[in-house]
Amino acid sequence: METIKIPQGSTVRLMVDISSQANSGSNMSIDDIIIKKSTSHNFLVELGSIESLNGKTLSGTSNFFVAIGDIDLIKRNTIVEYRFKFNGEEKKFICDKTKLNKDLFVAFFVGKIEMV
Amino acid sequence: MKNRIGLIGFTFFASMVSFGQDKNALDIPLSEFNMSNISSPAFVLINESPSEIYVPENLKALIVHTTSNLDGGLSIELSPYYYINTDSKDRSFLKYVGIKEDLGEIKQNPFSGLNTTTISIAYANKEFENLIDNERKVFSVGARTKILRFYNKQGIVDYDRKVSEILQDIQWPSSVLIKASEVETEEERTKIFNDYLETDEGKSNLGTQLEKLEFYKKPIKPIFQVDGAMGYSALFKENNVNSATVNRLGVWLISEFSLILNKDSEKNKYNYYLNAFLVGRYIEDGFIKDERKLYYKDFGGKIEMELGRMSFSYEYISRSGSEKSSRSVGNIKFLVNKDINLTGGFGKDFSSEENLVALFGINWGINF
Repeated sequence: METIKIPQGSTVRLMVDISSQANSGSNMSIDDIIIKKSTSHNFLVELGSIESLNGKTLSGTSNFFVAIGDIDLIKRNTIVEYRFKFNGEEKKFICDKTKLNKDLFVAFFVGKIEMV
Repeated sequence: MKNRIGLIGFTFFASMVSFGQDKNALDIPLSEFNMSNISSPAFVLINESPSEIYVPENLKALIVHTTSNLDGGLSIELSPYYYINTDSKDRSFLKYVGIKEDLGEIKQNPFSGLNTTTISIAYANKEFENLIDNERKVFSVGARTKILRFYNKQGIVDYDRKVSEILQDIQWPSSVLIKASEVETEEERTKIFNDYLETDEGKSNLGTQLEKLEFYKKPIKPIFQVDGAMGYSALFKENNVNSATVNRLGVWLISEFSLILNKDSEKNKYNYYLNAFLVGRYIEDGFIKDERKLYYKDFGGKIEMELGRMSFSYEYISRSGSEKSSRSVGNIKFLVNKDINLTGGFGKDFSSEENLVALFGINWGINF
């Protein structure tokens, strides 16, 4: 699990960019409570102040369904990028991808948010 | 005979590999039977194809075609799309099918099917009518692409929206994600996700969403599409590398109109289609003994009933030019599993002598 260290007093935003030929739908949670759902390939999540996020677990999944084409090749060419923005800084993460069955695969991120 | 045994062995091996990859291969829904190539242009040009009129839908990275009654004909077809610009950060389902929403208006790019271009090579050892004596080794190269493709654009947008809405509701608990992030291999990660799905909590949280997706597993076909293909083949007049070669060149267009027969049916696991094809083809044939060349203009059509795993069709092609002739063949196609389909053709070929078509083809899709 990643640890995202963010300076005190920061306001945190998360940009999610998805590139995939598959149909997709995503959700973001903090401590398992969903804060954002999206059917879009590019979306922004306003996470709020670091003081309110400190010590919490942020998790995000993008679920992919393949109706046309080859799932293995489509998964290989899928890119899901998370960009945390705060105080003019940016931290970027590429999500891991896992095939669940012949139709579905998932890209996910999970990280602990820590105030420094 | 050795060739036959070898190819039967190859088929058996391919089937076993494929079935071995999925213990429940026979239970796979149709959406996974996406190996729709039944031949290659390189094969069509040298008359090694059970059907000469077809339009492939879903493509594999590499496809191996064998025909000629298991007698040694082999073709390999490659889809470059999956290997070009693999770092692109601009892919989406709607882009792939060429549809976009612009200020509430749905627009369609009919040329989006160019990304399904394939290139193929083929080899066969066979007799040709105008080269009367023994079998000759013939090599062939071909390429095909989808020149035009039209979907039911509103249907595609609705499909994308509905599927995406189901997907956004699939929430994996952080405990599952943490476990998955701590293992090294994808196989281990897959097991962690699938183990969760087997728990009461997993079934309760995600079962409904996964069940809803079942309806969307049926394959989607364009209403109308036009493929263009070309092929070039060379044949050695003698069984000697220094001997003279003769050549055959062909270009053709094939259009397909598909009518779905069980639209919105929740009862049927598969979509049933009635497909109608038209073909126009020009061939310059140098596979003759003297220095002349023959020219053919072919026009024809095919009608096909696509009933889940099975397809039945009949094709007729009329030939004019240097000679008048026709081809009249019935076809059957069976999807064995997601990577293999079998095709058979029986009828009359263009030739005036030995014109019986009785071909059996095996088409195997491979990822790498």
